[in-house]
Order: sequence, then structure tokens, then C-alpha cells
Amino acid sequence: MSTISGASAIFSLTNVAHSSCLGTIESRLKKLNGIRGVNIDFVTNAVEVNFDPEQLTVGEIRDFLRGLTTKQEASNAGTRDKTDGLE
Amino acid sequence: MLPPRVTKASRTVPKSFRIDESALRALEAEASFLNVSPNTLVNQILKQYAEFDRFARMISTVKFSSALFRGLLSAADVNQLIEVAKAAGSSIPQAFVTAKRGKVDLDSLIDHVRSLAKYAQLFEFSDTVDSHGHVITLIHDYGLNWSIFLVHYLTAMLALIGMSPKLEMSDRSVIITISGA
Repeated sequence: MSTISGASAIFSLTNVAHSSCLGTIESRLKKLNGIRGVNIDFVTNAVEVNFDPEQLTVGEIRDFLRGLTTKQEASNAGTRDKTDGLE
Repeated sequence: MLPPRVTKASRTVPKSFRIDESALRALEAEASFLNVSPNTLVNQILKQYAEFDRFARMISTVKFSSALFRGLLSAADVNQLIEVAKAAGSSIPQAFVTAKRGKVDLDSLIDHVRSLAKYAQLFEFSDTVDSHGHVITLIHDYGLNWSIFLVHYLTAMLALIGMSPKLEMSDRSVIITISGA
């Protein structure tokens, strides 16, 4: 049996219409079990995640991010106005 | 076996610069829109330059839209694409990592692939490390030709250090399994 040392991933949030919500995405990601670290790059819209692959898969994190960004897109009409959050 | 690079804030130091006033206004407006401090934004812009742009400039990179990139890939002849991928994979990573890290090894080559995900948005990247080695997955929406290109680019890249990883692909993904690293 192998010993898992860890896992990291970089996701792209290029479809995020309101970058002001990236901070909210970061805080929600950090609450997921198995997440060890999150870093959002506001210049590239890249989300770097370190996680425990025994608790969480890349696909689950991707689905979580897609869910958040879909909610965000639905709640924003594609304008550059400031928003308070994702809901 | 080294674990994947840990995402953590590096140490910051105070430093003063004189900058163009119009650039400062643009930075402050963008920082306000992004709901981050100008300090955070400036730091990330400088980090992109320090970690990627200054090395990308050395290999004469250009920027164009993802739609154009997708169109060019779909129009390409596969055999010629493979030849381009092999040539690029055996030269570009070596130039890039030598300039950035001073040596060509597995860690620096994986860092190169990670940089292409973070700063060039060519794919999404994940790296899982255990006692057997690395499993690196690249996810994209540029179609089968991009996967074919990546497989040959990465094969040529890892041949630089004498490695022959197992590669699998679909029209949206490439999976690289590096054993015994």
C-alpha cells in the first residue's frame, strides 16, 4: 500500500464575470474537508489548491468551483458592478 | 519523494518605487474592482513577471485569444503538429527551466508545466504524489489535437532527463504517470 504525500492543483476561473467574488470563493474552498491551502491569483484568475487526496479528489474540487461560479454568474448579469457575495 | 509544492504566502518586504501616475490610477481602480488591496495586486503582477513573463520573453512568446488558439489547433495537420510538439518539447522547457532554475531536473520540469497552467492558462493542472511517483493530470477544452500536442511535447520534455512516463489522453485530458521519481 502506498503512502500519499499530498496533492496540488491549479484551476482556471476565466469564466468568472465578477472577480470581486474570488475572495468569497477562496473562503468557501478553505472550508472543505481535506483542503490544506488555497491561493487565488487575481491577475491570472488561477486558483491554486493543496489538498489531501485521501479526503478529496480533483474532480470534487472542480465540481465545487464550477458550482460556485455558476451561482455567481446567475446572480450577476454580466456587469462590472461590485457584489457582496455569491448568493 | 517530495510532496507537491505547498501553496503558502512567502515573506514580504517593504520597498519603495516611483511609478507612472496613470499606471497607479489603473492599479487602484482594478484593485478596488477586485476587492483586494493595491499591495496584493501589485505583488501578484510582479510575481507573474518574476516567475513567468521574464522567461517567456526569452523564447519570444506571443499572446492571442483562446478562440484563435482553438481554431489554429483544429485546423492543424496532425503529423505536422506532432513534429512541432517534439521539437518544442525538446527545446523550450530546457531553455525555460535553465533560465529560471539553473538546472534541468524532474522538479524544475514539473514546475514548468505548472507555470504553463497558472500563467499561460493552457490547461488546468493537478499533481498527486505518493511513494510510487507523480500522477499529473492536465484538463483543457482545446480538443483532441491539443492533447496530441501535449503528449508529444511532454514525452520529449521528460526524455531530456531520461524518463519515459506512461501517458494517457482523451480529447479533454492528458494523464502522465511518472513512476519511481
